[in-house]
Amino acid sequence: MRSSRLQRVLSAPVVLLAFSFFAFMLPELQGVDQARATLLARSEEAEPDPETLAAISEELGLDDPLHVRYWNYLTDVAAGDFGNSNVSRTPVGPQVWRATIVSGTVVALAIGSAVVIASILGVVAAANRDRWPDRAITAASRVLVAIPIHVLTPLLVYAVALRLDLVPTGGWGGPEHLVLPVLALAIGPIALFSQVVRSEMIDTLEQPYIRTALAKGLRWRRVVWLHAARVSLVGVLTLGSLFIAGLLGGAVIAEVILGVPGLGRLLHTALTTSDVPMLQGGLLVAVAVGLAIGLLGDGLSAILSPPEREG
Amino acid sequence: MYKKFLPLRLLAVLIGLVLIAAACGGSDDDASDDDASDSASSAETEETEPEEAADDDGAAEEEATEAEDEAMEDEAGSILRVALQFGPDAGLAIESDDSSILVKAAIIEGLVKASATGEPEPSLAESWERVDDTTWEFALRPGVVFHDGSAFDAAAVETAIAYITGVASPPRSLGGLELSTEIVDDLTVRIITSDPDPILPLRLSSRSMSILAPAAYDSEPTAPIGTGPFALTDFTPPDSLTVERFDGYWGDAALLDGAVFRFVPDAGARAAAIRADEVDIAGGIDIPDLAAIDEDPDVDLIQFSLPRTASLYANTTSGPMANPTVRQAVSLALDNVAIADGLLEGQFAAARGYFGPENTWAPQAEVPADAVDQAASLLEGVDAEDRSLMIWTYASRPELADIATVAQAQLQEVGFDVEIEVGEYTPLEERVFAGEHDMFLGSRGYYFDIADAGALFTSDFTCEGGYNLNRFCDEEFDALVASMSAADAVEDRQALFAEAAEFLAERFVGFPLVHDQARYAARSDVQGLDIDPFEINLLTNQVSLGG
Repeated sequence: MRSSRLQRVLSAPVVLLAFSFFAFMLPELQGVDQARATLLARSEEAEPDPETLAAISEELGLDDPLHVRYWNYLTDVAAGDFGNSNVSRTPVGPQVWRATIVSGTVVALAIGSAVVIASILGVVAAANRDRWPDRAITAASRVLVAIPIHVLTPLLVYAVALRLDLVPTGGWGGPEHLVLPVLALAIGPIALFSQVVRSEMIDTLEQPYIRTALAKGLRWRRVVWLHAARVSLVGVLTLGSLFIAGLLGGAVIAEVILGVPGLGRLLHTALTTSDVPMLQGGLLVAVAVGLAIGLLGDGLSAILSPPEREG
Repeated sequence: MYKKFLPLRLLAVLIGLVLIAAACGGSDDDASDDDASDSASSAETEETEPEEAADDDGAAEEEATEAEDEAMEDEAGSILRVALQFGPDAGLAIESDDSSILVKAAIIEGLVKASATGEPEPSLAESWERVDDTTWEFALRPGVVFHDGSAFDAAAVETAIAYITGVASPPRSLGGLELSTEIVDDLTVRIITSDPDPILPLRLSSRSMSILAPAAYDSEPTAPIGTGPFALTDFTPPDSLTVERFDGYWGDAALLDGAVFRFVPDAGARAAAIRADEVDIAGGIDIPDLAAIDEDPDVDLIQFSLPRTASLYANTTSGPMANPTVRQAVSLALDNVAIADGLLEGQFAAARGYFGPENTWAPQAEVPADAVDQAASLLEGVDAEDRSLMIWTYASRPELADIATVAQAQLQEVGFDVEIEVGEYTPLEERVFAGEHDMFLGSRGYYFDIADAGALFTSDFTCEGGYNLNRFCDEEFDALVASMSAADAVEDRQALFAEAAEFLAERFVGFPLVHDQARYAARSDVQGLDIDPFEINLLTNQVSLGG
């Protein structure tokens, strides 16, 4: 197991390199002429005047062979320079950093609240197996897990912001702007995790040591919350760490709909304007964060799970 | 305004603590600090935002946010809140489309401005005269200062013209024209054109031809230091832009204290924001949101025709569309009214030519009552190969794929066999310019920043035109377009435009389908709002809140 974890750590730079190459090649794979795309992003419907395109190609360094451009990019990134945006001509690094902080805050709050709420719901459902709380939580989970985020987000805007008038409909600024994006990203995982916790809890409650604890006279509530729930949470914590990378994907939709200036919106804009440096910077950071969280999740699971630690 | 209640407050405090723990925050204020150091407008931004100094402390940040909210509520009559669809992409560079946002925010002005009918009117230049074929003399307005305190004079105009004509992609409005300047005195400047140009003043009304302070050109991208009634105080890409009243403005002082422009890409979010009273004006209202906004008694809809047409461009040099009979059959088979009123719910207008009916000179084609029958009978003598058509279009304008589907059905009804391919714009455009297409469905503005059709006829329909999607080439038409450069009277030019439009319609050079409309929503208390048909202006010194 340790060697497998070591392998994952060692393979992280290779994965990053592969993604950087993928991002670099994306316009080529799509058949997009970068000079033309940059001209259109700066000036909509501008004619493809050869002189103008040549000047932009020179400005962006597109006249160099592909391998030279990629090598230059790698050496710059190694030196901490992500380059300038093709469209705005401003440095990519600070923009990606700001967007990462925004998305990181939203995703961390979403996953954190999902783990906490789902754990409570899962334990309550398992402890009341086949009674109404279990049936209600299970039914709600099945419905909520099936709603895609591009449907869920406008529904939340309508219900929470427009009808209930509790939070702003979108934008970014104060803490109140976090509520809708966090809800949009958390509801799916809450629905899924609660069923995982429920299932694990039901298994745990049937273990001999739980029966022993009850036979020794420990109160049911104490056994459920302190002994069984703790064991059942290991699975959901691991699942939560795996889910973060997926949530970054969902964040693209939520951030665009809710006007949140995060990594998802940055990547969406970079893709639509074929802004390769911005796309590369954003993707590299997103993948790096995903890898780091995956490794962190592995470590957490190893700490919490005694058999794995011993193995 | 949303209600604040205790649990939300607690949540807000918790979230605030997490943000502090993150040690970086993510608020507008933080971001704008970084931007201040990155962007060309840093000096101005730092000078005008003393409240940002307190941002290091998270608690102070939260208090500042609340205070900001309260201030917004208290000063509801002084700060205009606007949500727009497209934000600045190019760092507010003057030569880019970002200049349109700077004009909408009333930050920058040009020597000349366009009237609501597209005529040139004095702005930073009080008057002008044509000295000879290639030379125009402009008398500059005295007493004008830029937002950085520097004086507006002939030297500033010279710097601005030299910059804008030297950039990699000069503004579309120049149409390849090169400009140079000659200073006569502090308030008189001559602009010399590379070729005789009868509409130079109109070209100078283009947004990218606005004049910035000389210091603005020292940075890349240019800093938005203009002469308008409002000055930039904060720019937080891609989120928002904030302006405040510039007390040194040469004209009437602005009625508002300032404005906040938010850039909200999602149409539903913009509609929700205006319904929730989070913004006073929202642009780009989508068709599905119109009904809800229309029912809101506190929100007014503002709709007007845009100089933009969705058209099927036909390859007139090779393939089936090179056959004029096939083109005529296509023209008769397409039912633009069904597309505009049925598919697009009346939010687009059926096109009867490339130029909409608001252009009084533009010919509007008649449609025969038995058009479909005529199309079918025309096709009877056409080979099966020439009846097989491919329509290419792109997904970035969502209405196009739907229009293509309806057009496909209409063409199939008269006997064509039609397929559709939807792809990315730039690869498709490359194939169109290579002449690989039958028909290309695209949406195109017909005025490039200025209300003069000459540029479109040149670029889109002449043999050497840079955007000739129809691949149309006719010496007679080229001569007609060339004669436009000698016509300086508006009536003469419009007569030539009408002749050119008629020429194209008679030869079925492409098929204009629908004209787009602008859809804005404004809350009822917004006063003095007068958005022009070219969507150039939005915030002006006359806009106010109240009533």
